[in-house]
Amino acid sequence: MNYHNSHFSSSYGFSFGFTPGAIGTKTGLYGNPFKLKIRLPRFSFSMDHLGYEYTGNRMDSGFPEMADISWIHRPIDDIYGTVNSGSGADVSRGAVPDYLRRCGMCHNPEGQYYDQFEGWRKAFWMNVVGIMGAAVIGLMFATLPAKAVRTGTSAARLSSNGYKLNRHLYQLEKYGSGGFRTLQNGRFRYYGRSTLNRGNQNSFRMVREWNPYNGYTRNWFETLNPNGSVIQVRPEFGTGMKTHYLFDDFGRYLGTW
Amino acid sequence: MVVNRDIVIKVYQSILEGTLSYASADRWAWNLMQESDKGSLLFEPPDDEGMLWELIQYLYGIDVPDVDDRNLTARDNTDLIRFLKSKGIDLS
Repeated sequence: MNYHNSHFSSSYGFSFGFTPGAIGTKTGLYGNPFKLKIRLPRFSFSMDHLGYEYTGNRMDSGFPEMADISWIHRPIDDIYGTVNSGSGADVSRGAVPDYLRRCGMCHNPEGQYYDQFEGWRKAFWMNVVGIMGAAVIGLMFATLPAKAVRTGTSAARLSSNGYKLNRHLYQLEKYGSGGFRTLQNGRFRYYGRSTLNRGNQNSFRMVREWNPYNGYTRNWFETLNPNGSVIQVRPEFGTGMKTHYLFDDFGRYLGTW
Repeated sequence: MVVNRDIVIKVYQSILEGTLSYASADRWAWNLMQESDKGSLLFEPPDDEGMLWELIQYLYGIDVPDVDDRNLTARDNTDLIRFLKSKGIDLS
């Protein structure tokens, strides 16, 4: 390579940014929109503009190549040595040639060369460490409250829903041969098949009510008249105690026995 | 807890023979349902689970009294025999 006719120029830069997601599109109605804004996978960091130009040939270098620029010293030393050794150029002490001003290597007023990239490298790594640290901290602060706020998509929620669905299907199979219905308070009632009483046209059936919010169940038998009105209820207390609650054909409570 | 056809049939036989009361049969069925809710009730063979479960459930609430005559129950032995026959079991 011919270093003596070299023209150095450098360009250096990087950019970063956070790409916010549309509010509510992925976090659900109750999600935390800020979670997406500081999400690490969406964190973009670019240093594609990092590189040097050397004799017109752009050298797209990654950072390791840029960090090791000791090889630059030698050609610059050669250049300066050449001009100092009486090549005709005005390179007296303190005077900096234009082509050296543009390069990555310059000399201070004492005439000593220094590497201006040195400061850039330090600044670069400091920025990297700072940005990554900020991203991690931001992620922590954004994620923890978001988990507390989210109600629709957390793993625990899904697991809970899966368990409830399983319980619902189980009870529908075991106790819902006569059908089931959902109450306004969110509970489920499963009806066993009604069977006619022996001596009259009344029928009776078992009913199970399940509260999916606390998992509690309660069972009772109800006797229905031919019109479908409940005229007797016997709750299951689980203790062997059997109390019968009587109602008339219009649902008015008559008493127990 | 394991339940199979023989165990259930023996309970029905005890009821029909009068050695097991309706109230006791109701509690027996209730206990099995509790075991099922806890997931600790096993049916043997597993293919008979549907039939065995129906037999168990039929006994639950067998002592519910008739509203018009509290001395009677909504089901009696005749109903049990008829029900068993509908399941292909003849104990008469």
